[in-house]
Amino acid sequence: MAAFWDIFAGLFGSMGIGQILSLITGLSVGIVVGALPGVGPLLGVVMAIPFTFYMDPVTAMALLIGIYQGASYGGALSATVIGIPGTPMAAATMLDGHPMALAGRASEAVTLATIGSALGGVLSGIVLILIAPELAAIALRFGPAETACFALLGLTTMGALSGNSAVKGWMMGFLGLFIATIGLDPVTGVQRFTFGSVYLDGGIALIPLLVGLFSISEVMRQIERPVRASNVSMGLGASGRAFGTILSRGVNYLRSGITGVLVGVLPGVGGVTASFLSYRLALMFKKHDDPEFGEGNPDGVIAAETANSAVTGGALIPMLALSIPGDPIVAVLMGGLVLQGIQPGPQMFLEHLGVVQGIFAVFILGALLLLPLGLVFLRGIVGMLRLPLWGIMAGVLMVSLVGTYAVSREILDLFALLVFGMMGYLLRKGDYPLAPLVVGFVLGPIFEANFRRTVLVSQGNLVEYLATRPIALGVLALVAMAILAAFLKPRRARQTA
Amino acid sequence: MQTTRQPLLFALTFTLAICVALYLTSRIDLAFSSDLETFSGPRAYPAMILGAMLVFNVITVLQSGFARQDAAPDPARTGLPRTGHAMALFAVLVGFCFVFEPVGYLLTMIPLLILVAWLNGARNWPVTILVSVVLALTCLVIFRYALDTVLPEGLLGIDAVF
Repeated sequence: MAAFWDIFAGLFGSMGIGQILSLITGLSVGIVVGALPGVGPLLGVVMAIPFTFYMDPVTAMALLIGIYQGASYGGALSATVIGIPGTPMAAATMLDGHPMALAGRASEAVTLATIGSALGGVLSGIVLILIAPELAAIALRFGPAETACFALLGLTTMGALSGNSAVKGWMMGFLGLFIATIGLDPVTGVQRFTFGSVYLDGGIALIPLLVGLFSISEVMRQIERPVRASNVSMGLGASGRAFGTILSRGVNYLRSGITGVLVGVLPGVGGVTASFLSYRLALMFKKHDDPEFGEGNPDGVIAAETANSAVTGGALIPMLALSIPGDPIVAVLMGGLVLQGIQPGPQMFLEHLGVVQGIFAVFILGALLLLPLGLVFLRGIVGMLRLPLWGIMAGVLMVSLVGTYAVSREILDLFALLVFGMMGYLLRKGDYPLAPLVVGFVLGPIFEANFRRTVLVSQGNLVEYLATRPIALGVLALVAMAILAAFLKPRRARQTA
Repeated sequence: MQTTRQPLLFALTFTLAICVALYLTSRIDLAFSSDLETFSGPRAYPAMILGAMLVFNVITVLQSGFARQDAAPDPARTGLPRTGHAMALFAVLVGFCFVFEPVGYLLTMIPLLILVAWLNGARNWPVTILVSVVLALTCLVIFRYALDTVLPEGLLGIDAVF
């Protein structure tokens, strides 16, 4: 608890006008990309990554976290107004938000979503500040075996919970680990898979991989199968009545926020699960004079939106404390830190405490700013849903190409971008999830270094060595459970069908 | 039960790629003696990763080999013309990469944006061209003045104006 107050006292000292402007920019961009069906928070964060190359760490994280928080909320706008969730996690919000809009209560629904997002974000920010330092202090005592096992756990759970097939998810995670081996061996300096190319000696660059896998493949996919929004109603504004729910439905806000944080901490689970779980819990506590769930119940909107915003803080906890991304977007945030020369994980609390404080401050301030930004610019944001798809895709492609090139003005980066773009496009065709690949690539250096250290320390007797490491064994047991659960689930589903 | 072809094709392609990667792994030139080649060596680690991928891939082949064939065609599956558009875009992007630096940012980006807009259904040419030009110029100004990054000047030195 003393650590919490120490960090809290230093929080806003790390925020200057540049960081605040970056945060506001990120929130605004995030709300728009979250609201636009077919774009989404992951693509928004990926496209912003090249721009962070020119920023200091806190400003960079302000932009990226702003987009993350903004987009988590932005999906609720299109879900409510046009009945198409801008993000998958807004699907639960749509269940009651859109019926409210159809009943002429669109302003109330959108305001509830905004309040829920803000309160969920603040709650998860407080939990983040309370828990992450304590967990990091424990993790700093971990040896290479424990660190490698946690990295493997992150990879296993992310793979198991992404897409329709756990095996494909694990395959992609290990593909990411393999791509991370391209370049010079970190221990011996031997060239691996470089084919004599000086460009590849430095390894695969993060930006062409990220931007290619997600942006270029998305542009190609949209040409094949465009996602189009329908007509948009413009009669929207803030609803004063919705603010009264902070007291009258406070228990729902609190319960949903806690649900979101707890789900967010679990690697790979994410906002969709949190929002539907929270919705289900709210259904159990339905007030008897409220409409039925699915017919415009305000508690449905509150539960879904509060939970999916609270996930954002929860997902940062394992990233900061254990170097495990809580969801694919956090994996990209980790990449953003790596670009800044900062290795994400518990050692940040020792070596880059100012950056950690900056992340905490940015997170809390972002959640608070979401309320005024979301309400004041509501009509403009909803108006953007009328933008033609061709304009959006042209903009995405342009930013992707120029952003990637501008980082090091290396034309080979553009070719690498296209290689990963085609890879992402083909993998999507084959129903292989891309998020585990990114997680594997980001975790690759951490996993390899610690795994090889463990083998060296154990002098080849890996099993005997691990038997003396109870935490590592415990984590490996979790890995085994995650694998077993993934294989058992489809069999049980078939039996009960 | 009948097989589903596409997942099997992907899995078999992966198998081939993994085998090629394993061969390349065996060709990694070790600087020191083979004593390095325990589990901690520069060859062993990628070989283990590829071995795990092979196992997952075999499971995927088995799963797709025993899967039921879909009763009705997937309505979300796109036809060949739209896939051809995506491939055409990719081919144009490859060409773009070759000409980007020698020809210049503006002279390459504006036509590319117009093409992408057309492939995505834009048919109002004056609006499409105007939006493409505005987008390209806006990006140029942002990178030149906000991020202090010069984009390729090109044949006509148009970017020197900025």
